[in-house]
Amino acid sequence: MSGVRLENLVKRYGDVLAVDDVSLEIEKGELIALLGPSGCGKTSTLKMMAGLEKITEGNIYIEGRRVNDLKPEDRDVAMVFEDYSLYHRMSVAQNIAFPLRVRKVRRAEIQKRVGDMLELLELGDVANARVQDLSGGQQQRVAIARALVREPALLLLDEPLSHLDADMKVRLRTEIRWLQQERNVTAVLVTHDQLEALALADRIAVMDSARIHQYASASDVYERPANIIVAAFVGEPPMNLLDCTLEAVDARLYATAGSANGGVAIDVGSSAFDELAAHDVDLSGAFVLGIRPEHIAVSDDGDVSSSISAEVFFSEWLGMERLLMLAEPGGKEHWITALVRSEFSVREGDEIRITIDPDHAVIFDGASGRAVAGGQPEPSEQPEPGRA
Amino acid sequence: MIEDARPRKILRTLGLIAIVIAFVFPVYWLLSFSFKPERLFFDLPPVWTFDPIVTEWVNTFRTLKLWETIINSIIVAGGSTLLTILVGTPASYSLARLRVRGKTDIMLFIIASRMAPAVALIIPFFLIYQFLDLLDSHIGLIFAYSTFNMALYVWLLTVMTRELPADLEGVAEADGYHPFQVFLRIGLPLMRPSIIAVGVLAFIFAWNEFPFALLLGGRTTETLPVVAARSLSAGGVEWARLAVISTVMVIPVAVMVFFLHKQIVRGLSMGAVRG
Amino acid sequence: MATQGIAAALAPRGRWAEFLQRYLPYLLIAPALILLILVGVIPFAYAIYLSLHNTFFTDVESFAGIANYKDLVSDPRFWGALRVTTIVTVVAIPIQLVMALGLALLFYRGVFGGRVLSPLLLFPSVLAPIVMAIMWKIMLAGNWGILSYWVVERFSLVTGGVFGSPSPAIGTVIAIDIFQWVPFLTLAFYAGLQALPLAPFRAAAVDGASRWQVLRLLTIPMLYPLIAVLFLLRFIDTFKIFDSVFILTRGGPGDSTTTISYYLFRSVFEFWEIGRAAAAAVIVFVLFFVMTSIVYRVFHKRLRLI
Repeated sequence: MSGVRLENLVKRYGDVLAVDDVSLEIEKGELIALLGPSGCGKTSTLKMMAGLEKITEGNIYIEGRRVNDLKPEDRDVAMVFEDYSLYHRMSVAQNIAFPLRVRKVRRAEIQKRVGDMLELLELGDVANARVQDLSGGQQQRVAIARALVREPALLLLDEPLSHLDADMKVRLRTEIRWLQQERNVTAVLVTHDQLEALALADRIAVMDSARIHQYASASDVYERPANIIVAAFVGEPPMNLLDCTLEAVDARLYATAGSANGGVAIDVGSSAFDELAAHDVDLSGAFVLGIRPEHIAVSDDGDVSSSISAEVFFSEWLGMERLLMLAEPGGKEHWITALVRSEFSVREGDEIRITIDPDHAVIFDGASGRAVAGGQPEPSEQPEPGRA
Repeated sequence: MIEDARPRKILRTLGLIAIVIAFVFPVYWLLSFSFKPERLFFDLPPVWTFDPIVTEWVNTFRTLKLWETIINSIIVAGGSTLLTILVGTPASYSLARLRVRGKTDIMLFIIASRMAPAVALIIPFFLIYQFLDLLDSHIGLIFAYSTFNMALYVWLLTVMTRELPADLEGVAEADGYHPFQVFLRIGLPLMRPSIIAVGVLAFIFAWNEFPFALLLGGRTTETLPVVAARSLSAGGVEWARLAVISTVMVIPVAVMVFFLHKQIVRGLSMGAVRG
Repeated sequence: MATQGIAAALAPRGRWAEFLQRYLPYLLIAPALILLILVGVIPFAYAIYLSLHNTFFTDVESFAGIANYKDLVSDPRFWGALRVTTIVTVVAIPIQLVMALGLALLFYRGVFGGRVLSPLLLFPSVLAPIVMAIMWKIMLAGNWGILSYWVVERFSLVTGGVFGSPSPAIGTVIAIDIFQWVPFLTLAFYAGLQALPLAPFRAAAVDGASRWQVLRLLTIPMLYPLIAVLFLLRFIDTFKIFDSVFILTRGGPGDSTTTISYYLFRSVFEFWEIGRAAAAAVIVFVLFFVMTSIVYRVFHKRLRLI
């Protein structure tokens, strides 16, 4: 059953297009993330779902019901805000009870459900404290309890963790995920923090410049980006994106990248070739080769034919791994980032040889930015979400 | 919040205009009597349109020597304002910025003296002034006005000064300025806008004051409210004259309200509103 | 700048400088405090002294013990004045606060031309109470005042003018206080409402609170500190109401509009009962501070005056 469906949603503020033709389908009990940089339209989308912003065009359905013209209180949605938005001058318990109280729920029922929430979120000790005396993490817990207490059809989380300390962030992240699954509530998380989205969400919708660029599972967004925008935004350190030309030899694809000596040919394997062939892609254009830093390995077998020579100009030890910033031999500009085992010892200025893992390479069309091999199709190319 | 529709804003504006008219029209009606020919006063129904005349203005100024009254009002209100500013400003600076023991108690004492009912104070004042020969003197009134103005001024200026950034004073002190020099060179210029705003408020209160002026003043110190009240009692009411005096009283207040209405709202609420 | 010259001339040196450094905070406060003691504490103390003596006109004669207080307590006119003052206060203040809050709630979402309209609206509140009273006197005069003609006579509200019988006379005194202060209170609430944080209202919209619930559970509780301050200030001023009574009713008809302040005025300047008036003044003072401190205590947590 569909939890939420957004259909060709558009939001304009005067001449500014904030949300451009966004369509999404969210399964019941699923948690999805709207991920993107600030100003990408994710918060506007969320506010339209909550009913805090008017919809310019398109439709929103919650559990099959069109809610465009319903007031926030009639939509059966609950929201957790970035700034907690608790009710001052009320205690923790009163805050949690508020949504039930305004709905005229019976007193005994309110007491029971608030009690459950206090227990579930371990807020029993501070039930009668004033909310402004609590820490940020506790305040956000109260806000979450307040949102969940009335068992909404849809839970909206607007950057819920962005004001918290790092360790509280991780703790609350786990708690939110656990609560959401325990209560089996459909949820939408808005965040600019990709770690949060990757850790929490069943599926991620990557937004930029008012549009959704990819809507897929965390691993698909990470490993099979639909276009260069997604590839560049998701992942830390970011994916290497190398301008290249393509050549097919013996049903294998070779990408020529770099400027030194006419560039180096990189073997990207046969599966990429098959994919390009299946789509009849003309190989004469400009392309971009995308490869994640962790899919680059240092080659020590001396096989010159399959490895690339590069010069280390910066190396950073990250504990489990070592981050290498590589330049072309003799060059000074950053070319490729690689994540290698931290035992691998290297000094700045060393020349090393690296290989890439062709199974994880993604080829983007240089002009449109779309993935032509190794990525997923963009949402606009996908068939319309099922309307059965 | 959900965006607010323009038509609603227009509707609200019209509503507010109606309210403003309801509150300001009576003032206009009063003032219009100072230009209205006397024979039209008692017409039924009340007359709205007429050719304005200034006869009553000329009469009032001549027979009542209204200029002298105006000067009395200016001396008393101005003097009270000046005294309040001179004495109150250093106190406010100290309470807002310096370390003073018992600050809360001092502030409580100050706001308590704002509460005293004037008429209750007038009894001892009257006898003390009689003894000191201060009845019917400008200086006596100026001092008496401190009962309400000093508390108002010190309280408000302290609240407002506390909100000003203190960085500059810290820097000056670190540079080796004596605290007194910091007050004169840094504090005072910083406080100037607040001093003007609260000073104006003190002036309005003194300008409008009635019981002290009535009971401690006399023939040589009559202020405008006293002359207005006197025009009521003696042998029937002089309506046109009342209107003229009222208009004279209203003019300076109107000018100040126009320029400083936010500070005045703040002042009337003893600083509780950020205007 | 001129202050620089002064500062240089006054720049303290040596031991004098040390003395200044140490006591400057108190030296700056002292003149204001001394003045407040001169015009507040000393007259109050003198009033106590007077209240314990027999007086003849303005002469203090012999010690009277608490005779003046006894007289006062048995004077029905004193109790009547207290009653009138209480009625005015208890009726006028809640009405003006509720009206002003209602108006502010209507307009605080923004209007066009607020910069012109708000000074205009403030105007009645800063008029001299004397002028305000004269204004109403002209509007309610005889049968020709604009309000007498269009309202009082038209709807036959009272015969013989509003100042002819007790209840309408008190009603008018109350109406004038309301009329004078609703504009300021509206602007004060307006400013208070605009200073409220938006976040809880957004949350309440999603949580499903109706407009009435938002008002009752959020807006008004968040305005409590402001309501408390305005209540206190209006309480203080209305309790000593004098000017409008003096101009409009002279305490009449009978003693029906004789407020405490007007009672004190008559005791001194009409009957020259200085000793008894002083006793009344002392009682009023004490009453005033007791009531103010009760109000203060009730709202203590909400008042952020200090």
